[in-house]
Amino acid sequence: MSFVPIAPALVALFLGMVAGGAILFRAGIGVGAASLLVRALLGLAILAELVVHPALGVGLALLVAGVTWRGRGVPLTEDRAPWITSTGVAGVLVAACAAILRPPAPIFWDESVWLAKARVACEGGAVLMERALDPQSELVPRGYPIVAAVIEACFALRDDSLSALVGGGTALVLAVVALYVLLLGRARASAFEEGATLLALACVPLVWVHLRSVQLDLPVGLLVGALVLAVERADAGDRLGVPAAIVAALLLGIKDEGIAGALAVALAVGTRGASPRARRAAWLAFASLAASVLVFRLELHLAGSANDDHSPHTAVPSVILPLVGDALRDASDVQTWGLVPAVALAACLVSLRRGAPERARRLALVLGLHALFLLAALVFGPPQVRDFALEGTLLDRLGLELLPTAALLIPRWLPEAPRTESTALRPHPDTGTASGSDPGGSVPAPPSGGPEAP
Amino acid sequence: MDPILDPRCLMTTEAVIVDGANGVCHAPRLEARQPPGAEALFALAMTIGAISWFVRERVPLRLRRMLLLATLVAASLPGFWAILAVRADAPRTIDRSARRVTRTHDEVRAFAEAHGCAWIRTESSVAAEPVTRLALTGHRCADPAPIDLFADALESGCVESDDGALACGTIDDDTLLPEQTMPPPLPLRSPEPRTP
Repeated sequence: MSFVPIAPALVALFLGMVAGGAILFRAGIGVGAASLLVRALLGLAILAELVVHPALGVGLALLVAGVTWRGRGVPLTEDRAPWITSTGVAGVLVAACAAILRPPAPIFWDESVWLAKARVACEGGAVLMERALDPQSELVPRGYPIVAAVIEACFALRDDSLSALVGGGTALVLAVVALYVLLLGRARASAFEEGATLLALACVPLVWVHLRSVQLDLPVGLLVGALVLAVERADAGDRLGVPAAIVAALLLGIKDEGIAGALAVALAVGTRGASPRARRAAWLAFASLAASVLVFRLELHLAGSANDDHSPHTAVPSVILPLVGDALRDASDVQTWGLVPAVALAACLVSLRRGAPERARRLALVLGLHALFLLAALVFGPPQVRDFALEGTLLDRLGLELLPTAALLIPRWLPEAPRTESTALRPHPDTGTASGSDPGGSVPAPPSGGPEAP
Repeated sequence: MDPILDPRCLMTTEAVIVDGANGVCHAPRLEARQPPGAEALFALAMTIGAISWFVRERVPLRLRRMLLLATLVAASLPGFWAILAVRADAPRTIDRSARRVTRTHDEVRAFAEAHGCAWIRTESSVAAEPVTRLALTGHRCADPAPIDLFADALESGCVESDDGALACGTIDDDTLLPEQTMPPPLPLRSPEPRTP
């Protein structure tokens, strides 16, 4: 049986954790699984930003250190070391097995494109940036973000063999899966919500196809979901919220579409009736990503390497209806999507009604805005991308970028028993009993909202 | 019909390379610009039914949750069957597909290393093109050696021909694209981006 080697990625994660831990040394975020992973990914994300521009990397590191500086000494409201839940363990293990147990070779078309950039990054970050800025170089598709390539090269420990590169790409996918699952476990309102979210994701066959690849569409979607969860943690007073939100946003820089997801979260969570903590987390995260994207674009422009693939074009409103029709047709492909899009659409519509639970309403807004921004990118974007969408090779993958947020929404659609102390004794809307009795099968609520089985 | 657009269920290596990430069991290009079919109507009906069912709060919560999850699981089964048993990247067949890809990569990379670098002179295999470009990545020189990718490149493997070129696959006049007569300005050309 062949498998993808990801052991080198553990070394990279450890080194990233050291660097991220130095940046967050005053944050007081504990030593739980989510906290350790956020440290590791922060270190790697800052390294990637240093490659984009040293001043950018230093500035972002100082920003994160600054906004988390006052953590130590402030009484903790959360369990200091929340660990991973049993559902989370199962989710990460199953995903890891599915991703690793395959031959270490790129199968799908775009996998080779991403791995080619990672192979250049294995020569060194400066080489990758030099090629990206070279107007004559067509080695890296010009104008494309380099964050993913740098991190994949780190995970491969700069070994540019085919199996090591696939291992690096797989490790990036799994790290993002773990971030989503761990934040979900840390933030869950009930065992049902955590389990149902993961089950909704698992019931989309295309998710498993992408899980067994190094393509970045699924990670972008998971990062948008992780960003939502991180902002919610900040809203709940969890100190991990702000750094986790910034990490998720910086990693969203792996693809251009990431900015659409981050903006959707900022607008949906950072403006409408949200707490100051949530607004701060959402906009800090968006600003971090925006700074990264702007610096990269500016460098491309100054080097004369900017091209039409990444600039707005004349709008073509006539494609809106065909695109929406194609999207509906793709979403109704049961073999690819199961019935998750149909249920998510229903959940979205119901959640946007007046009187819907605020947690579900905000998620529905994120989902709607994200879809709208992606549609706008196609309407205002370069013609060749529009052609890809109309030819049928793009919309399914854009759907994957919406899916993890939709999976968060599906269980929230149904009334449930929150796990917080303030609501633990609230009569349940369905049964009239206290939510501690949990008619839906949720586990009883701990007093602080901190999950955690050892 | 283009043989790569396999209408059954991406059962060839070439089909799964080109369209495997865009859907589970269909070649989206074949369906582009066609109106939604029975599946769309079915899903739409399910959506409306789900809305009308789940907003009725008098239905017990436990039943609603069980029905929701059971529906999602049941609807995913056809896709899982395709992934696990039909597609060319199913567990039973993925090793064969991966061997073809890896062999092409290794042969092209060894050729490029032996000649300093290489460029693709003939592009007749959409499926072999990306892994060939991946194999060429990192090699630059003044006098790149030519590589000809023919339609069956993945299946047939590569051999060095008398003119010093690497021929991957066998010549097929029906699928052969016009050969480039001039080398590109750089030996390494990147694939076209496929996403925004």
